[in-house]
Amino acid sequence: MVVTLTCADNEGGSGCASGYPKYCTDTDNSCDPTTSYTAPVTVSTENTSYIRYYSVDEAENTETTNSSTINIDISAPTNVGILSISADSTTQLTITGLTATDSGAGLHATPYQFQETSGNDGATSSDWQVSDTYTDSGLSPNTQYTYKVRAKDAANNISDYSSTSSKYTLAAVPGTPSLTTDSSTQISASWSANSNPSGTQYYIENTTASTNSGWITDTSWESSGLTCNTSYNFRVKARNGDGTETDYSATASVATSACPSAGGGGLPAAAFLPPTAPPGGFQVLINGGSPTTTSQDVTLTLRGSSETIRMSVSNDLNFANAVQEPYDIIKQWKLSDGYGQKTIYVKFFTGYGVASNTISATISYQAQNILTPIINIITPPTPQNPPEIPPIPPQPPAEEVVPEQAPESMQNVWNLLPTQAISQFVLNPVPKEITDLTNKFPELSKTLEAIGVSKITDVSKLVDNTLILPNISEIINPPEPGLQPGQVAVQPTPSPDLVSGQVSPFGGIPLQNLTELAKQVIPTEILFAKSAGGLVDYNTTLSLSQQGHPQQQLQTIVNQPIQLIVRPDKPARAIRGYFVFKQSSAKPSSKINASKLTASLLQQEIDINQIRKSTELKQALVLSVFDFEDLDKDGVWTADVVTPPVDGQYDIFVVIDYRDQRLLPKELSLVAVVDPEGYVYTKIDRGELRINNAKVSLYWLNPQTNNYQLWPAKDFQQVNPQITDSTGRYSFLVPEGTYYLTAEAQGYIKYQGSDFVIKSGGNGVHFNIELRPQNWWMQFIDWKTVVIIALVLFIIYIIKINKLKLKK
Amino acid sequence: MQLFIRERIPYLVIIILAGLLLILAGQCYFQRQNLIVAENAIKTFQYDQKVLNFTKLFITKVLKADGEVPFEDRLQLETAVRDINDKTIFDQWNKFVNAKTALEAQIEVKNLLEMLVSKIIF
Repeated sequence: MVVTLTCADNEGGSGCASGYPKYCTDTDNSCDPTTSYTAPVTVSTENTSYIRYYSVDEAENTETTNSSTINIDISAPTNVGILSISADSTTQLTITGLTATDSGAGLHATPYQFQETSGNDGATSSDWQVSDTYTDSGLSPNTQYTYKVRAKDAANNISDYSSTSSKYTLAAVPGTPSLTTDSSTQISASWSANSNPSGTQYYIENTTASTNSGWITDTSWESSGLTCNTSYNFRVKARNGDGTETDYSATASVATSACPSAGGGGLPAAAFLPPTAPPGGFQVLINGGSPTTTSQDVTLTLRGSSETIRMSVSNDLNFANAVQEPYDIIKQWKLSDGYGQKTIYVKFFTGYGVASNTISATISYQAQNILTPIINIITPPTPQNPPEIPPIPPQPPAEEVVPEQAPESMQNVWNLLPTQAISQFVLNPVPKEITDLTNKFPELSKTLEAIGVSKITDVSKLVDNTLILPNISEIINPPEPGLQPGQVAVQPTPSPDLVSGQVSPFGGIPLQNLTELAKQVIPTEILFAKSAGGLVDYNTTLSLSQQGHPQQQLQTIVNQPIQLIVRPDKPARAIRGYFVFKQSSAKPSSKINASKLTASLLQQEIDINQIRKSTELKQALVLSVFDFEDLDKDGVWTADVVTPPVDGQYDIFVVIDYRDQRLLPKELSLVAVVDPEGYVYTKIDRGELRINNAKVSLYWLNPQTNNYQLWPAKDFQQVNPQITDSTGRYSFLVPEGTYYLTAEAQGYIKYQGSDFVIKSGGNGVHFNIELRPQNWWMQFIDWKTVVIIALVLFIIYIIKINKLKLKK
Repeated sequence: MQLFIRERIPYLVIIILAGLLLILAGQCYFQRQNLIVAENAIKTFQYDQKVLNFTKLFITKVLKADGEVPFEDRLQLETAVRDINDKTIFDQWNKFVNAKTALEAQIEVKNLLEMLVSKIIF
């Protein structure tokens, strides 16, 4: 600023003296004017300055010192910026700026101006305005807009634009889902974006099945794995780029297609569903997720779900030459030949053979660098710095810090460890599947109590162990307790209220001999099995699968008639069963040596786990469909089936269709381990020869007489002794007891085995028996031996003749 | 010929000595590297040992305490946590000590235990 001073004396005065006016400038208005004014004075100091001045006339009259204030403002306002942007709606944003300050002239009357920089649809900038808040409307949904602001002061000093801030408008609520029924297990949903731009994320939810799509950018989704003939509700929501979610759309409903017909050998609904993915989805890792390998042999880590029974692994996307095999979490695998990027493809299958989607994993198969071992030798270990640990800043001595009075946290007045989570982990009761069984079998409850299985953490004790469940006869007429191993119970006489007619001394009670009262004692929704006209009860075993599910299992022999029994807990309209091939057993038949091994020991060799491990092939194959009947309307349904002619493991599925249509059909299952029949054979040079017309007899220790007698097979719809055919096969299905076997055939030494104990009902006697020929040494004499002996004798004869000639 | 050999001998000796020196220098370098690795391992081990020592003290003196934790034990805990010389553990310990409610104490105990376990390097 330029200040001009002038001096003028009154009219008629002497006039201004030379060298005046004098002036000075400062910022506190206290300086002494000493500088003679010769030219205009420039003041450039910002903010307030003062110029002090006075004059003297020629008569030496001195003027009082005057002072003028000079205000200079050349700085723009400060504190300029975007405070916040709020998304008011799908079309409006409100931008709030910081309150600008100006220490000079102060803010202008209209100090703020907002500018939108993205240029997206509908964006506008403001004029200079009074308010520090600007509302931009007419915008597009879920679109990002960017704003900056500037301010000016009363001296029209304008600040630079502030840094920018961005915000998305709210997404619009998507349209109500439009639903299409694809099949009995799948529904497709699509919805309108409702002005949302592409790339908007949607979240559709099947509220009935409690499944959802996750956040997706498509406007369609397929909900699969559903139950047939069931209505499902869907709703959808969206979210904008800032993650702000909309409300849900209106709910839409549609039902899946009708269930497949029960006739014509149909399967349960579950048979049509792929395996449910585990939490986190199906997964395969090669070498634990390593990106590279130098070996063609790798380790696969597979993650299926509890419904995964088999899997198929291949180097080929089309699974050419791939086989289904039992599901396992670890598998050794050989990559395809040649170096490079290798991909492994895996599918998981249910017990019915329904496959999951194909999943894959990739690894780079590289040749090993021949220099690597040398480099490893000559390269010293690289020092790894220990992790940075921030040290504690200097502290007063501990004695000064630790108070005499313990803080509340160490007064033992609070539970430092939350007890609820701990008790939930440790003290939760056993799973419902097991408690259901213990409710139905009080004996099982006692057993679990005795072995200390009372809470969820104890259940692991049951893995790889089997418990024998009582059969129907034992439930109706429990045997005397306190038996020692090997002893056989003498069955107590059952109450006439429960059993009518004759009772077998073996304890087996045919179903028709049970009174109405007894039938009501049979546990509901448990599969029981009987044989031999109901006189032999199969004891099913209870084991815990690796997935922690209780699994019932019975053991029988091929081609045996079995009566399956089930009592529904509610009136049933129909009950249908399925014999499904589970896996073949490559387990060789247990063989009994003619001399030493006892049958009882061999019986113990039959280990279900071994059978499982020896599995070579698995296929889902429904062998037969059978219907249960309840002719006498007593609520106990029975079905007569014949075990398959091929040994292996089979699943018996039973589907109960209730009269009350509001109840969903219930599925029961039982694993049947079908063993092959035994056979009688003799050893020959090239293996074994089955013996035709061999007589196999089974002797039973009568507990009443304590003597062995021929087992009364007629009472059990069987024959004893049995005469083998050209296959040499025989088998007996016997109740509990102590037995031994004999076998005889013409030309063979009679075989008598050691005694063995059948501990649980329904077991087959089917050992392979070796017979030795009576003239066993004759087997070493064949035409070759005869020729050799003859030649030796002839040579000896020639030698002797020659010696005699020489003597002569 | 003899003159030629006589002239070359010093060079040969120098080359051999230089080679030996190079080998020795290499060995020294490798040994130094090994020493650093070992020192780091020891430091880590000592740190882990201190963390475990404090964890053990915390469990026995605080979590399994039958009553109020006596002054001596609290002093021992304070010394042990300072001995670790890790600010994050020290701060978490103070959060627990200064907890004002049972819920806060439970949260800080869980955080402290989680931190102690995650701090163990080996």
